[in-house]
Amino acid sequence: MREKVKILLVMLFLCVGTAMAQVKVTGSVTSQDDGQPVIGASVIVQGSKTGTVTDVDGHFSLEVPENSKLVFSYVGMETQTLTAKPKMDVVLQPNTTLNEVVVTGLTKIDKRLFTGATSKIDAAKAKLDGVADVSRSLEGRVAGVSVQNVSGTFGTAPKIRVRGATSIYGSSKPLWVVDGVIMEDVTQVNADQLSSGDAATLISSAVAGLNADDIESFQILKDGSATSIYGARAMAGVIVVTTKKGQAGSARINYTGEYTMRLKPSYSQFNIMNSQEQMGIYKELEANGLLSFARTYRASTSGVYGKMYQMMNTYDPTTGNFLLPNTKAGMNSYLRQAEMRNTNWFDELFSTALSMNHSISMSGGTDKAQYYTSFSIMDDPGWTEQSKVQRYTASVNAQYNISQKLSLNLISNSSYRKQKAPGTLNQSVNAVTGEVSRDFDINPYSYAINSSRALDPNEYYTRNYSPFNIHNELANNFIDFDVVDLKFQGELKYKPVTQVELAVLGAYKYSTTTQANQIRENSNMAMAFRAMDDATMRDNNPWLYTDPDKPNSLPFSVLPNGGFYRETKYKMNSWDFRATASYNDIYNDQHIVNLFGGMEINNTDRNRSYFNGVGMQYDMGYLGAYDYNYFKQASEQNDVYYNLSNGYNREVAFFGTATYSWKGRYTINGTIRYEGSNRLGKARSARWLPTWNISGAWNAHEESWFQPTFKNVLSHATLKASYSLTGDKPAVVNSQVIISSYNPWRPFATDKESGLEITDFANPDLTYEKKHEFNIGVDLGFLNNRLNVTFDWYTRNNYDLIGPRTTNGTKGVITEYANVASMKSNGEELSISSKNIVTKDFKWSTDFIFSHVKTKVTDLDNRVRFIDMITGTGFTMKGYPYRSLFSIDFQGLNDAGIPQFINQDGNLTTSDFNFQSRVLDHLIYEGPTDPTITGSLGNVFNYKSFTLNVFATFAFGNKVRLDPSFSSNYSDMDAMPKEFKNRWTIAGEEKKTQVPAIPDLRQLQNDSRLSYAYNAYNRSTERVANGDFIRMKEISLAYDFPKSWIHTLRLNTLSLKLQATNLFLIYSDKKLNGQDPEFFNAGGVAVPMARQLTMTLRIGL
Amino acid sequence: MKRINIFIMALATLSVATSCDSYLDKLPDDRAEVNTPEKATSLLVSAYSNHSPAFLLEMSSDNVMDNGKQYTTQINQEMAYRWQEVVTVGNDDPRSIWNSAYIAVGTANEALASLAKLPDNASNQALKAEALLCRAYAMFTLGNTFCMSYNPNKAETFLGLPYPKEPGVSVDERGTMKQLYENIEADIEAALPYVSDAHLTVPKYHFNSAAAYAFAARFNLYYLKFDKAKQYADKVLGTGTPTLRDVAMYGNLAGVDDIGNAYVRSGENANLMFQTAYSINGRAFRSSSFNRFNHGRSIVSYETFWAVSPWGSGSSNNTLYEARYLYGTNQTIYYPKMLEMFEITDKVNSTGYAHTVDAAFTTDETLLVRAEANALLGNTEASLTDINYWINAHCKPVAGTATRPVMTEASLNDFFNKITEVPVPVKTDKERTIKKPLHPQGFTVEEGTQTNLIYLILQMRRIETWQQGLRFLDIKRYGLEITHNLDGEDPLVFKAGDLRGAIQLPADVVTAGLEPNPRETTNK
Repeated sequence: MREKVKILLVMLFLCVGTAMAQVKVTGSVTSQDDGQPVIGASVIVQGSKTGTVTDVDGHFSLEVPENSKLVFSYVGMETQTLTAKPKMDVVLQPNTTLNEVVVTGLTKIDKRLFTGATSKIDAAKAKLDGVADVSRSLEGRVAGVSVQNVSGTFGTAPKIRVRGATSIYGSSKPLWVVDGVIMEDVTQVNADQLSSGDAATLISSAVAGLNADDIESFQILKDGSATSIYGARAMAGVIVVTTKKGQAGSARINYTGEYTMRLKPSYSQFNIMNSQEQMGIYKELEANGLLSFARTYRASTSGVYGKMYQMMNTYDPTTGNFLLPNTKAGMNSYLRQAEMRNTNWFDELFSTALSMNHSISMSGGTDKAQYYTSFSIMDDPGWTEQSKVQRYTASVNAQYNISQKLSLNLISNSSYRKQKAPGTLNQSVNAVTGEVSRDFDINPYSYAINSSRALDPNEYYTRNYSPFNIHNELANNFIDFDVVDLKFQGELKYKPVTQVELAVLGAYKYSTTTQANQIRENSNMAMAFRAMDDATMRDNNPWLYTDPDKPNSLPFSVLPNGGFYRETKYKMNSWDFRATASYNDIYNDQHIVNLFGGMEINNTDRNRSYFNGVGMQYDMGYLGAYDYNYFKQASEQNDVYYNLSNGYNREVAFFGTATYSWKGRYTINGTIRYEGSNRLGKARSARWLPTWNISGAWNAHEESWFQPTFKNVLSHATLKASYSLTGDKPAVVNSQVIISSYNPWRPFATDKESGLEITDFANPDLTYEKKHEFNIGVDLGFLNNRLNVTFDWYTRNNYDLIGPRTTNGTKGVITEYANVASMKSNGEELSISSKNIVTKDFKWSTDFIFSHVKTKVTDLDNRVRFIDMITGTGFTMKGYPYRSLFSIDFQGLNDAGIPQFINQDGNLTTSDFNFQSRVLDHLIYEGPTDPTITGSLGNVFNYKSFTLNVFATFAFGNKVRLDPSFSSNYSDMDAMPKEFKNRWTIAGEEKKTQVPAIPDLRQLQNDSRLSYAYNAYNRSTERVANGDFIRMKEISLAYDFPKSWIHTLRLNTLSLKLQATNLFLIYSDKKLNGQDPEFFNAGGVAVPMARQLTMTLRIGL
Repeated sequence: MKRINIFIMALATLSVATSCDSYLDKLPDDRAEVNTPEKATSLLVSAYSNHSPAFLLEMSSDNVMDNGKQYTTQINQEMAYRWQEVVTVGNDDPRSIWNSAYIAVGTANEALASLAKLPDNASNQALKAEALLCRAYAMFTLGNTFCMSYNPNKAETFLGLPYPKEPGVSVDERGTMKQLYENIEADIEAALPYVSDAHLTVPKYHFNSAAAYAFAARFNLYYLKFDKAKQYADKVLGTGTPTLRDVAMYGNLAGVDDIGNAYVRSGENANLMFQTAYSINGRAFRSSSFNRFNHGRSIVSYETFWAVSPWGSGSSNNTLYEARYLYGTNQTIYYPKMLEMFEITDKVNSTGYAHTVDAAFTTDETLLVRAEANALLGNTEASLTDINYWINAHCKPVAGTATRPVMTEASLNDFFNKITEVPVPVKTDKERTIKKPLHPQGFTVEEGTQTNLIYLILQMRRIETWQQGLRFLDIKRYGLEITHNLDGEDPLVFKAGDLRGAIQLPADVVTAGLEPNPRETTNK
C-alpha cells in the first residue's frame, strides 16, 4: 500500500515537472573499486530536493531541468557533481579519507571526528585466498600490527601484536570484536604456549570459525584513544571485525571457490644429509663403538643398524637361514641398500592434494528488510599425513526496519570443524639436562627433517623398544577434533528523534571442542607399555612398572592389552548484554556534538574435562580392558586419569564518550569507562578500574587558508594527539586465596590421601595491569589525495604489570606475584599509499607499511631459572626487551671436540651446568624474539580487467634459535644436517671449526653428563640466527571477465584469480639453512605455513 | 512503544547497576572455599611443611667431618659445614625451609579462620587442635633452625620469629625468643585437650594424639620445662614397658632398600608421625657427590655407632643393632633409615623429585626425651629405667665380646669417669670420644651422676636421631663445643652459645626487611 502511495507521489511530481524544460537523464553508477554497480546511490539535482536513487543494477533515470548539475553521492564514495547529460555513466571513487566511518564495535564515528590511531582494512583487499583463518591475512596489512605465523596448522592462532607487547606475564593478545561482540577463546593459550606445538594450540584461534568471505572489513584500534571505549580489556589493542550485511535490492548470489595446492617442502631447501652421507657418519659411529651390536640390538631406539642386527639374529624356519647372514658380505650388501635408499620423507609424509573452500552467499532485501546469508565448506585433505580438516560455516544477518524509528538486527554465526592431527603429548623441558623434548613425537614435519634418509619408509624400526613405522604410527595414533562455535545476537535500535539513538544488544555464544586422542593398540606408544622381549629390555623400558610394595619384584606391563582413548573437552558458554544511547547534533552548523554512553555485562563460563580411557581395545569392538595396576601406578605417581576444571568470568562496565568539534576543524574527545571484573577480588577498591582518554584533532584542511596556500599539492592534513589510560586484567587471579585439591606425595599407596592446598596466598591488592599511552599522529594527503601518508608516533608506559615481588615470606610466600613490574615501549608507524599511475586502462598503486616498536622492561625482579632464559621464546630481565633471547656463552671446542661454555658460575666448562640455577649473570643477550620492525610493500597493477598484486612482507630485529640438531648421542634413526661434514674429527681442528665432534664411547663413559654440553650447545651463542626476513607473501593475477561476455551466461560478475602465497623468502639469514624464521619448530601439531598456489573463482549472479 | 522501550531499558540498567557488585562476587575458578569440616580436614593435609632443615642441621653438626679435598662436595653442604651463610636456594636450603614452614603456618591459619566460622563442637575442636599443632610445629622447626636454643637468661634479647596468626597477613617483626616460645606453648596448650584421631584417615602423616604429645614433650624439653616434658612423654609411652622400634627385626631384611622401607612404614608402631620433604638428604649420605663432608669412618669409629659405649664398640664387639646395619664407604657410612624416595615425573629421562620420609616423632625418641627430663629433674632411677628400655630395644644380648649392659648409677659413673673428654679443637681421631663437655645454655647440670646421665642420653639421641638434624639442636642446647676439621686449613670451632647456631635467615627475607641474625664480628 505504502509503495503505491509513493509511486503516486512520484508520478504527481513528475507531472508537475513536465511543465518546465526538461532533459531525461539515464545512466548508471558504478564503483571504481570493483566495477560493481552501486545500488542506492543518490542522484540529486544540485540546489534542489529533486532526485532519485540507483536501482539494483546501478541504473537511474531522472528528468531534470536543462543545464542543471547532478550530485552523485554514496556512503564511502567521493561525491561527484556533474552537468546533466542524457546519458551518464558515473564511476564513483571510493573515499579514502573523507566521510569515512570508524567502527569501534560499540559505535560508529565520523572519521573526521575520530581522534585515535586506527586503520581500516577492506577484507576483500586483505584476504589471502586459500588461507582459511582470517587472522593470518592481517600480516603486513596495518602499520603497528605484527603477525607471526609461529605455526601454520589450521586453528592455531598466529602471534598477533598491536604495537608490541603490553604485559610481561600476560598474553598481550588483542581483543577480537565481531559485529560488536567480544570473541572469547574457548581455552586460554598464552603467547608463549602458541609456539609450543601442544594439541591445545589447535583451538587457540577464536576466529577460526569465521568464513573469510563473510567479512566486510577489519578496523584495528591501536592507541589508547581508539581503544579506550573498551578500557580495561583493550590494553593490547582491538581488532574489530564487521561482517557483511544485506542491501536493499534484488537478491544476489555470490559464489567463491578456492582451490589450493600446497607444495611439498623439498630437500633442496634444507641442508640434510642424503643417505650416502648419512651412512658414512653411521659407519664412523660404528667404528667408534657407538653402533655396536651390544649397544644397538636392544637399544630403545634404533634404525638401520638395529634392524640389521635384529635380522642377523632372526631365524627363518622356512628357509632354514637367518634373515641376514652374519658375514661381512651380508652386512655390506644390507648397508649398501640403505646407502642407496635416499628416502624422500617429504614425499612420504606430505601431499599436494587439493584443498577446497566453497562459499556461497545470498543477500538482498527491501527498504524494510535486508538479509545476508552464507554457507561455506572447507575441505582440506591435509598437507601432511593425518591433518585433514573440514569446516562448515553458516551465517545469517537480517536487518528489519520495523518502523522509521525502530530497527532490529539479528545475526547468527555457526561453524563446525572436524580436524585430525597426529597424536601428541605436551612438550616438556627437562630442567636437569637442559633438553626440551616431547615423548612419542610423530609430527610429520619434524619427523621428515629429523629422520635419516637411509631408513626404508615401509620398514618397522625400533623406538621405545617397540616396532615403529611413521605411517603406521600416524594411522594408529591421532587426534580427532570436533569444534562447534555458535553465536546468536540481536540488536534493537530505537531513534525517537534524529539526534538520539538508543540500542540494546544481546548475544549468546557457545562453543565446544572435543579433542579425542586415539592411541590404538598397534601404535608404538601403546606397544611401548608392553615391550619386554628380553630381560635387558624389561629392566630398561621406563614404561613398565615395578611394584614398590613387592620388594625385588620384576617390572611388568600395566597395559597388557589395548591402547588409550584420551579425551579432552572444552566448553564455553558466554553471554553479553549491552545498552547504549547516543546523541549526535550540530548547532548553528558549526558546533558538532557527539555523546555516547552505556553499560555492558559479560559472562563467560568455561569448562574443561579430561579423561584417559586406559586399555581401550579398538580392534575388539572398543572394549575397555584395564589392569588395576595402571591405576595403582598412577596413584603412586600422582597422575590423574580424569579431571574437571571450570572458569567463570564476569564483567560489568559503564562507559561514556563525548566529542565536540568546531566545524570539524578542531575536535576534542574524552572517554571514560568504569569496569569491574570478578578476577579482582571482593574489595571494591581493586575490583573497579576507571580508564579514560583525552584527545584532540586538528583538521588543517578545513581551515580557510589551507586550500589557497597549498593548492592541491597538499590536499589534506590532520594532526591528532591523545593521552590515555587503559588496562587489562592480570594474568594471576589470587586476589583471594586459591585453594585447590591435590594429592600429596607419599611413599606407599597405603599412606595416600588427598587434600586441599593453598596454591596461592591472597594478594588483596591485586589490580589491573595498566598502560598510559601518548600518541601523536598525522594524516597527509598530497596531490588530490593520490598520495596519502599516515604517520604515528607513540610512547607507552605499562605499569602495575604483574611481576614477582620478594616479601619476608611470613604470609606463606616469599616470591609473590603482584603489580610491581613495569615496561616502556615506543614506536613509529608509517603508511604510505600512492596511486602512482591512473589512466583509463592502466593503474598502478603502491602501499608501503612500516612499523617499529621497541619495548624495554624497566622494573622486574626476575626470578626465573637459567633454563627458562634459553629455551622457547626466552624471557626477560630488567633493562631488556620483552621476551629476549639469551644464550649460553660458547667458547669454542676443546681439544677433544667437545663444546666449551661459560657456565652459570662464570667458569669455563663443557658439561658442568646447573640449568636450574637462578644466577643469570653469565648469559649472553642476543636480542628480542619479537621483531622490532615489521611491514610490507604491496603493488597492485590494473590493466583493463587484469589485476596483478605483488605483496611482500618483512620483519626485522629479532633473533631466532636454530633447530636443536646436536646431541651427545645419535641413534641410527637420526638425520643430521650437512654442517656435520665440517665437524671436529681430529685434534687441532678445534681451531678451524665450531661444529662439535660426535662423542665416542669413551668420552660418553667418562662424562655421564656429556649430554648437558650438547644441550647447552643447542642453546648457545653459536646456534642463533637473525630472524630478519623479507617474504614474498603473495603474487596474484586476477581477471574479471567483461560484462558483455558473461551477460550471455546470465552472470553479473565472473572473475578468476591465480595466487601464489608464501612463495619464497627474498631475504633471510643464511645461518637458517631453510628453517623458517617465523615458524617455531616445536613438533607436536605445529607445521610451518606452506608454499601454496590457489585458484579462486568468483561468480556473482 | 517508545515509553515501553525506555522503561525496559531503564529498568534493566537499574537492576544491573544495583546487582553488579554481587554479580562480580563469583569466584573466577574452582578454588575451594573451606566452609565445611570435611574441607577443613582436607586443608590440614597441607599444613605440614614439605621441606626439612635436616640436611642443613646435620651438616652443621658434629656428625660430619672433612674427608679431604679430593672428594666432591656441594656448595650448600660446604657452606653449612663451615657455618657460613647458606646462600643457595635449593630444596634443602634456608629459603625453602623458611618458605615451606610459613606455607604450613599460613595454611593452618587459613584452616583456623575457616573453623572459626563453623560450629564449635567437639569434632571441629579436634580440627582446630590439629591446625594449632601444625602452626606450632612449623614455628618450632623454624625456631630450631633460625634461632638460638631457648635460654631463659637471654630470652628477652635473643631474636624470635614472626608468628602469624591470621591468614594472608605478613608479620614484619621478629619479636623475642620469649615471645616465640610463649606463642608456641600457647598453641600447644590450647590444642592438647582436644586432639583426636577420629578425623584422620592416614593418622601417621598428621598430628594424631600420640604425635601431639610427643611434640609437646620435645618442645617442653627444649623450653626447659622438664616436668611438663616428662608428663607429656608419659602420655605417649604409658608407664609400663614402652613400645619401641623392633630394630632387631631389620637384621632379617635383605638390604638397604628393605631396611629403608621398613623404617618408614606406617605399620611400625614406634613411628608416631612422618614428615615428607623434597630433599637430597637421603642421597647425601650415599652418593659420592657429597663425599667430602660426611659421616666418615673416624666419626663412626670414635663418636657414633662404633664408638666406645656401654654397649660395646666397633662393628663386631658391639651389641648395638645399628652398628651392624651400616653401609657405605670410608667417607660416608650410613644407616638406611631415611633413604631417598624418587618420584619420577618424566619416565624417559628418569627425572623427577627426590623425597625423604622423616620419622619426625618416634616412641624411641620420646623415650629419650623422658629420660633426659627425668635426669634433669633429678629422677635418676626413672631416667635409668628409660635408658635401659632403649638399650633393650637397640642392643642384642650378646655380640662378640660385648654383652648388653643394664645401666645402673654405678655402672654409668664408672663408665663415663674412665672416658676422656673431647678437647677443642680435636687434633687426632684418638681424641674423639662420646664425652663432650656440657655448657648448658640457660640451665644447670650437676656434676657427677646427672652429667653422666646426660652424656649417655645425648649419645643415645645422637644415634637415634642420626641424619634427622636433631643432633645440632642438642649441641646448641648443651653448648657442646665441636670441631669441624678442614683439609689443609685450620679447624673451625663451634663454641658454646655460638651465635652461628641460629642459622642465617634466607637472603631474600632479609632483603625484604626482616632483621638478620647477629654474628660475632670475628666469625665472618
